[in-house]
Amino acid sequence: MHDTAQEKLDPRLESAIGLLREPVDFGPGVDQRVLQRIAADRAAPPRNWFAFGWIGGLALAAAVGYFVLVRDGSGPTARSHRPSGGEEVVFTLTAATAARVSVVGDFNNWDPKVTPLKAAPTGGRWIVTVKLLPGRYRFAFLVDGHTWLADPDHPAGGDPDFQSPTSVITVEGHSL
Amino acid sequence: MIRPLIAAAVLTGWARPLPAQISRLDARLQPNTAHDVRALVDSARAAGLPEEPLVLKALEGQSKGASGDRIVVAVRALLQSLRTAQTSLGLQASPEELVAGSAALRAGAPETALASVRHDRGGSVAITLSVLADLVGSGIPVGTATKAILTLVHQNVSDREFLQLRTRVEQDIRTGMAPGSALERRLAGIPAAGPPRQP
Repeated sequence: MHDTAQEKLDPRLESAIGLLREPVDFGPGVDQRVLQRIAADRAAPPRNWFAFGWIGGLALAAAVGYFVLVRDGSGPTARSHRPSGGEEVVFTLTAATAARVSVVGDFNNWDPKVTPLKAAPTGGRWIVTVKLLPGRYRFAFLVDGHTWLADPDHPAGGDPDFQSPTSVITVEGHSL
Repeated sequence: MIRPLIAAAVLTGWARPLPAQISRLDARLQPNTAHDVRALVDSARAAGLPEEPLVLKALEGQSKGASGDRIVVAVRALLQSLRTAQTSLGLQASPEELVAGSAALRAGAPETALASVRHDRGGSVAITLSVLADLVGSGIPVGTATKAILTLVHQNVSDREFLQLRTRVEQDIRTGMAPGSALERRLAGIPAAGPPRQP
């Protein structure tokens, strides 16, 4: 059972309904104008596609990121600098009174001229970076062309052949 | 038809040394020394052993001012250790394994240790033997290092864990810890990665 007082419409709503019920005059040729507008829109460049593509791209990137980073469970990771096919190894030596230092070993045919170290501005430190392929390398520092020194940062080579200190560095790789 | 002939020549040691090796030896060594080293390199090739370590040993000697005789003795000793490593590791051993095995032998590891590592560990043993040589080079007694390596092999630890062990032992030694104590401490931190392998 409905209350008759509640069935009576609000006067403002009745006015709006009355306006909508009035006939609308679009003028002569309205159909032709609509068809021309549709044809013009089809021929024109898709103005909103760029915006849609940009937003869509963001959405796609977010979706890919979600699956790669969140669903995978790994997230961004820091990586050591290991170029493809080798590893950059930094050799350093503190030799304050040295005039020249080189690192000599299996990776440069034991040629003292190939890999000289550069002197740091202060502290008597000498440094050089060498790219090495995976493998086990014996080496030593040559100071001023006559003094052989092992690298205190790496294991001793333990090779008595020539009674001079040597060190060993192992560069990881799939073959080693 | 040509390829099999070349392969056979290389395998039988009939082929000449690589030009790069000849030029490096001839450029750096006295003629008699270069001749003797080339003969040893030829022997290595005939036996299926890696040649490059022998060439590098000769060049190391030249760089360090060693006499020709001493260079030849050193190259011959290295060749012998490569042969011994091959005997212990098998003819299928890779050049990397032979070089690492040779280093372990020259550090003092017994041949039986190489054979045990080969027998008990799956895959390449290059890292394992390299770490063994490095541990001895760090001052750890060869018996202690060998026993530790074999224990870890039986625990089936990974190559990466072997390398981490070596790095951490070196770090401890640099801080002043005795080599043996450093190894003992770091061994305690390695959990077994899997069930022990059955010999």
